[in-house]
Amino acid sequence: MMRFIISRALQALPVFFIVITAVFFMVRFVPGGPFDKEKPVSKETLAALNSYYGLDKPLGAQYVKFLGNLAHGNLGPSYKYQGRMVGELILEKSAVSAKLGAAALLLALFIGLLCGVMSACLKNRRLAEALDAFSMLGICLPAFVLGPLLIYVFSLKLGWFNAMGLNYPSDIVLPSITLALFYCAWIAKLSKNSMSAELKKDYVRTQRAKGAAESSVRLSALRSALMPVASYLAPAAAGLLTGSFVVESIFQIPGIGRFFISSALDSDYTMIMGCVMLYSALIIVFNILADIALALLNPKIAKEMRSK
Amino acid sequence: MHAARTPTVLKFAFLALCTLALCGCGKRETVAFERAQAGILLVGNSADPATLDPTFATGLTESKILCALFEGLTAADTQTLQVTPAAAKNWEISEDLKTYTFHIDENARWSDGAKLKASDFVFAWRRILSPKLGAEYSSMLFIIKNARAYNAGKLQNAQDLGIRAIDDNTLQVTLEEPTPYFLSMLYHTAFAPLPEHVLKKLNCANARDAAWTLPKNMVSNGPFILEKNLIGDKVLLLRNPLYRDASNVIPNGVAFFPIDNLNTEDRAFEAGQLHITNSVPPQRIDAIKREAPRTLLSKPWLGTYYYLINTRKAPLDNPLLRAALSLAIDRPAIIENFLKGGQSPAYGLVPNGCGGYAGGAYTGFDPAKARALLKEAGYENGKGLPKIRISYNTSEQHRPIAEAVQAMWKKELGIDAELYNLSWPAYLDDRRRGDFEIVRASWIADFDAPENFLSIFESSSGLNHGGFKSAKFDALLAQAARAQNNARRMLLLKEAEETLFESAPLIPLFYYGRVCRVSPLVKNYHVNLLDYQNFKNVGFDVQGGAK
Repeated sequence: MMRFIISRALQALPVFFIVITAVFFMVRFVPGGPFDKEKPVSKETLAALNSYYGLDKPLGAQYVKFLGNLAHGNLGPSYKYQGRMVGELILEKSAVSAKLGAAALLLALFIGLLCGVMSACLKNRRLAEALDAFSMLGICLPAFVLGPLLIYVFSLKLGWFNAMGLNYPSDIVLPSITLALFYCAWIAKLSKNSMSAELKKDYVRTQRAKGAAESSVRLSALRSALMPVASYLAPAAAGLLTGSFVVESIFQIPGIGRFFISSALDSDYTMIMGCVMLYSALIIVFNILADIALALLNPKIAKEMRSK
Repeated sequence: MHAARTPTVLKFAFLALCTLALCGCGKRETVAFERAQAGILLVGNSADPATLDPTFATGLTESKILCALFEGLTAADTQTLQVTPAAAKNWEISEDLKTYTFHIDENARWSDGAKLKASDFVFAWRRILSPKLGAEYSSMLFIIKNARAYNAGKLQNAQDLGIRAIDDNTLQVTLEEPTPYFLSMLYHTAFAPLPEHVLKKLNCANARDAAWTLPKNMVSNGPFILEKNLIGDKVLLLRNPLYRDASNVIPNGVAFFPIDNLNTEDRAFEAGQLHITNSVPPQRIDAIKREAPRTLLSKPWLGTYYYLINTRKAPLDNPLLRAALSLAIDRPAIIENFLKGGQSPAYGLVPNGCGGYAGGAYTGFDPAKARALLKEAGYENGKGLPKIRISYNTSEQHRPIAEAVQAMWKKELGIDAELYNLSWPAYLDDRRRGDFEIVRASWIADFDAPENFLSIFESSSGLNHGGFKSAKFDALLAQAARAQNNARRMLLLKEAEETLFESAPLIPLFYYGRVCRVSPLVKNYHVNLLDYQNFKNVGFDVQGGAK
């Protein structure tokens, strides 16, 4: 297993390198620059700014410097937030997004699996259909509708929660529900489909024929049914933990999600690079984790991994 | 068996609802009420401050915070914008109106207890003009003798600048030209003093380094000091006990929340989490007027929203066509239907009442005249005229305005216009390169003087992207700058604006309005033409406001 993890990590390195190289050059070919403003600065000022941040050097030299800094763990200064380092900002903000994302992920997993598995196991068609409808609703209802709706009901009308910020423990409830619903619905749908398919398989029928208890039959089916969910969780977790522009904007959460959009709009090159690196690193890490989870769920895959 | 399972699901739902309720319970009073009792103002600000260093601050977002942290030589009455003494207790002006001698208030101190000296102003102004640092607002100081040359690197010695500390309490400033609005520029943050001893200690004096603006290091001389600066969350200021006029500062603190989403801000206000909002969603204004008119504040603002025309490109190089386009727009209809927030129709470039200037109406809504001009330009009923492109950046406001203009041109003149939506960087890039036909533009004043607007169209202006060039216009502005008599200066400026509109290189649409919501818990909050605020006199009415 260890060999597998190391080999996957080594495979990921070139991918990571290609992504950051492509993004480094792409953002510089996009129209506009980090110091463009509606009230433009003079040519002398612009030249001084470019020289201060080393943007007057050839692109190749800038790239080499970027890689050199990266090797030392330095992502450089943000061009928008004067005097603030990108690494420090990303650490600070991603901690907030990760907290919210983790709450949403747990919620999505718990409710999603519960609904999915219950829907597959229930003999009561109406209830099963109601649960299916819930997951359909979750997929269709966008966060920019659900978030304000939750605020309207639970904050403005009932007065149970704050409408913005993340200052009290209860402030995490509404944004995490808003963030979780979509993932929750997908998990419900995936787990229902795979659980239904598993329950029709021969080994389940054999177990039942041998008189095994229904709960243990379902538990063993669940183990296999979880595999598509585990695969889905990798990008879902990366997405959830890196925050959401929409949810953070609706609830005024000081997370990293908004930097993904604002850094691109501000042409804040160093911040764009930081965000892209964070997201790609998380995608890579979670994909490896998903592979490990699959191996734990399915001994056949584990065997293949060992043989690699 | 099925019947037994159904309640389990319901139990789960009930449990979830109870958890939800329990999580939210316990906060009886609104945050706004609690904070008002503690004397802390909760203020919406449209974004995070990009910097808290007055040398590099450029936007209104930063200005709001910095005016509460730093005090310049002068301040302004927040209702009338009348200039008042601040860090300078008084001043003398030479006969030629070019030399100002300021006497610093002996009680003025930095928040670390150090005395505020005239040299702190000299240091700050030399720093913003330093060619090496590329301070975006350095041009604000070009009215000072030799400042432009020093900033361009043509003059090496900072001693040659017209800024001199005669002694610790006396500052002498020499200007290039008599500038009657100089005193009203001095409360802009570009002219704020800097704690030289702190910046030098932290090696920030000659760098775009913000280490000195971190809450643990920052030293300021205004009514408040910086307690926290959390990006995406809030900037918290607390009362400065060493402020020269500390006994007259009412709030114990001000918290600024960087809320860029208008609806989020409005919901936060409704939920009792803000005392003062930065803006109001236009679609909510009618409902607020009905339901809570007491909370709505709407005042004119020194800013103009206009369409800039590229005068270098055919067919828009024809002034008759440009004038016709302007005359076919029904501005009040745009304001009533889309904007709703205290704007007024613009028929000139300089907003009414700007620095005592009485502008005129250089265009209007006259479809018959517009059609006649169009015919004269050779495009009767729009025939032979290619589609005209209106470029704007992505925004909920710009699109409906452009659509309305498009419809009005079609209806009144038979002209087809196409709308061209651009991302913010692409919009700025196209504008700078002059790659547009008509582009949305706006200007919000930095100080209360008509020159602020008219200089946009000077031949040398970095904002004159439409290519308008007029020697007469430039000469009139130059003469106005040298005028020693204010009445003559105003006449020259008016003539300059008339000259500008003879060529119609722009289509003014509306003068901005400032609209916000203010909680009944707050009193003495005023909105002025420049949106200048230092929050020191804003008070609370906890008893009355809670009713």
